[in-house]
Amino acid sequence: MKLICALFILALFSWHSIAGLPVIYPNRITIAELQLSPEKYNGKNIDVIGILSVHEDEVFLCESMDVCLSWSPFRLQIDLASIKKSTLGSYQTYDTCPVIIIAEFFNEPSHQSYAIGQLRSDLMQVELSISRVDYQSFNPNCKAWNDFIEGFSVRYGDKKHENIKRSIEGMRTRTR
Amino acid sequence: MKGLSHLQNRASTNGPDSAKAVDNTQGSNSADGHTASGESGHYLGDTDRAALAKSMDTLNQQLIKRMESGLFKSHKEAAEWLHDNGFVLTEQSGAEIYARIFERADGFAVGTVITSYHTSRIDVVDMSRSVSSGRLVADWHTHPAVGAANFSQQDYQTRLDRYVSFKDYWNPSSGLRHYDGFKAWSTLGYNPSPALPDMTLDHGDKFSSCIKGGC
Repeated sequence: MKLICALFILALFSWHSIAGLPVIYPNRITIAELQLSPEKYNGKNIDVIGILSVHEDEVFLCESMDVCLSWSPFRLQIDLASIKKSTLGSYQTYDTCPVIIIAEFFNEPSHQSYAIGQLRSDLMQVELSISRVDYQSFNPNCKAWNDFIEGFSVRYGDKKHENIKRSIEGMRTRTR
Repeated sequence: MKGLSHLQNRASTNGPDSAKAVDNTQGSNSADGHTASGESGHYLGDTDRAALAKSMDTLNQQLIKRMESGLFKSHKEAAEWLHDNGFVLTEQSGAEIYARIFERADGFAVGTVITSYHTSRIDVVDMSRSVSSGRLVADWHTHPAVGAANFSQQDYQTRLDRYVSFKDYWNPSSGLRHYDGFKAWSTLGYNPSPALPDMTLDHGDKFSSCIKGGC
């Protein structure tokens, strides 16, 4: 009887696991913060949101579309090999798209006339970071988003709109 | 149902788990807000580690082959595949295993399945190795301890869809549970944050359900 009671109590207390996944929150750093003190973030893994510009073999993450279209230095150079690996070669579909990039930042003074530094990592993560359901009407040229919307139509049918909203909320609250 | 693990799981949210993490996030002084987990348990020895590494390679090759024939239709389907093919590695080795699930335009992809070769934890650095293209929407992990048949309080601190595979004392078949972190945090009206209280087990349990097997 004592054994049965002991087993019951053991089972009761083991209902929830003692194992737990670490809780991970984003390190969202703005391009302006990087510009102000690049040495502070040198070599650190950070999350940065901006507009991706893919032009020939050069990829930049810009503070805004205007920065992408000029030589304003409020941009980060993106290592081509890292983004190719991360997106399985489909990085060009992110041209002109708002994205979040998680990678290591390198403060490289040789770039500072036109870029604050570089983002690179073997484990770089690139994801859309869009805040409005009607984003397409503001920018119809973001292929990654257009493909996503098309895929949602096929996958969710009538529930497409609801799932887009949930996706956008997921982008807002994205943790690592 | 709260047990002693409720106290064990309430870890500090200020743990500097990542050596390269940046200070000052979301208005908090924490370094990336990571919590140290798994105070109990141990890392595998060299022999067991080598055997698991080999099995993990095989599992990841199986996963690549599976996705070459078409991505998963849902994160649930991806989690079921991981449960059916991956939980056996935990049963054999006693180590916790983890993978992330990403949504793409044409379906759901699973990032590399990883382990920290530990019997009750996955290290943050290892979690970040489970990457793929697409948007992070869900993750899956195993509970190696028999009887650890539900999510821990720490597991509830996410706004993702989360899945866990486990084995219960009284059921011969393993089980798979799902936690809708999106709904759970939406009903609270805020996001997981190091500056705010953790979600309680009681609240998280309301958004946890059995998906497959012996729950």
